[in-house]
Amino acid sequence: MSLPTTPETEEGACVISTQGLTHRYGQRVVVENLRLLVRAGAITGFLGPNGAGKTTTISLLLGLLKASAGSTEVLGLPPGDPKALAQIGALVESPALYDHLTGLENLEITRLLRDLPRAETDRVLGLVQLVQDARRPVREYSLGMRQRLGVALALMGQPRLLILDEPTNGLDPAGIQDMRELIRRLPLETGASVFLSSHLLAEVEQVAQDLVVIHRGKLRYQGPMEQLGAPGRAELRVQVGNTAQALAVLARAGFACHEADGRVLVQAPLDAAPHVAACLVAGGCDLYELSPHKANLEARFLALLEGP
Amino acid sequence: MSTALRAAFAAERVKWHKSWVLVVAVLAPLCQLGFLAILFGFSESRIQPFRPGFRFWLELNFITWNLVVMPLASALIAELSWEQEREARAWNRLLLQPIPRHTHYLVKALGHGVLVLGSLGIFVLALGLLGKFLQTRPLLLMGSLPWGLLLRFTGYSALALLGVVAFQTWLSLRFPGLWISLTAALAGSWLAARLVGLGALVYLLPWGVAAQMGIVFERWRVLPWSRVPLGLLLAAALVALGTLDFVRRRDARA
Repeated sequence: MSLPTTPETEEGACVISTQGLTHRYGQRVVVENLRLLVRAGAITGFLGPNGAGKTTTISLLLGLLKASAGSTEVLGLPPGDPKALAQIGALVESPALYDHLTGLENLEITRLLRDLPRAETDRVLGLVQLVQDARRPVREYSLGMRQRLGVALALMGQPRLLILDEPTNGLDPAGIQDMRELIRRLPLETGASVFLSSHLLAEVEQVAQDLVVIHRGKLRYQGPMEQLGAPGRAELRVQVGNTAQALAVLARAGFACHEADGRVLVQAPLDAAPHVAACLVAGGCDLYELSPHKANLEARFLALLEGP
Repeated sequence: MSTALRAAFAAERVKWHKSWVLVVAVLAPLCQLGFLAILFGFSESRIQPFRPGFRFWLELNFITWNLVVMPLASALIAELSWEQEREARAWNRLLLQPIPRHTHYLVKALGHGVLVLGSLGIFVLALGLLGKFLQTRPLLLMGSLPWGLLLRFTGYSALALLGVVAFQTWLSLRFPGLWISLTAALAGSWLAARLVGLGALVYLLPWGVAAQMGIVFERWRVLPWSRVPLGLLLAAALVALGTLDFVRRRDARA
């Protein structure tokens, strides 16, 4: 079983940093000695099976729960500090909505509490494509619409840090795709950091650059997505016209690689992909496909969840 | 009022739209007045001995308001208002806003107070209008509206409700449930009414000041204005205790 890796991120550039974060419900330890460093400007996936302690950790980061032990800083401030909360947008569990009010009125409550201009409600309604339904009571909303309104609430005020707990719950495939695009765009458009919790690797791997894996309240992995569970052993899958030729070219370029199922697996992180492609083309290989080796990623994720 | 408190109160008012708390605040006084106006209208001969009629109209209504309707309305408003938050699981949202924790409780208490005061406003307005209508019934011997008495009763009732609202706000946070809330309101008011005239013990109850309205039937006694500050002190203490309780019990809400 892989052990938690030491994060390479400098603490100064982190939006979230915890040391020995622990939370107990009575005698039961739900989060144990968690050391998190979440870097600024990135999308960080927070992954773990149901009951792993993700929501509890998020509640601790936001000051909704008080830690039994350890220290936490979010945007350089203690959890729950109003100055930090003013720069954080969060969706914890399912959206907390007043069913008797319209979508617009629900947004209005948050707008008033955050002292934001009126135009902010229109902006977030547009982002989650709820403009048409904004004046309908929330009790008439579908699960997907509720989820989108929850995300709209989190986006109000263009937060520096967005903490989303299972944001695609209840969304249809098109809604999931839209949400994924929205999350992917945020760091580019607003410079926001995103901390995205999910129990599905497939959901996180499509948007996140960094990954934090917890299981039974303990940290199992922290680092770049492609190195999940095996630092320095991330793999790229290459489909070429001539496998033997490609193996020779890549070996000459200093890459560790081997053949599997008619494809070449290169031991290299995702950011080495352009270099791998350049070597192959320069070596006269016909390159048909170059992608992260996802099956391997999933296997390594599952391996992290084995054991106590 | 601080910026955070003002912002939170503005947000609180949005929650009142199309809500039961607003329905209770409007209907409670109207139900009481409607009921008593019908009684007056159909019992002219029985009302006659209480002349002048307008004074009796005010006394009977303010007693009913302070001893029964106001405690019940306060209980309902506080309970329904907290229930809104519980139903929406709103603490996961409200406590993430850049508003100090204690402000959320203070705004709830303030909101309940404003709603019950608004209810009192409707009550006084309708009381005058219905009284004018009853003046058209000669047998009731209504006489003219005693403005001074109306103002005194209104002022006293406004101050008397603060302790009750403060208590019900805390009770509904700590022990949710409509029946708990209503039972406490009725039992508390009944106990306070029984203790009136038996010493200062009654002022230790949130309903103590309101229960004093019961003595207005004995027209040779005046309302105990000098005891009102004690009631206000109790209301302030209850709000402070409720705020402390709310801030400390963060895990239970999350």
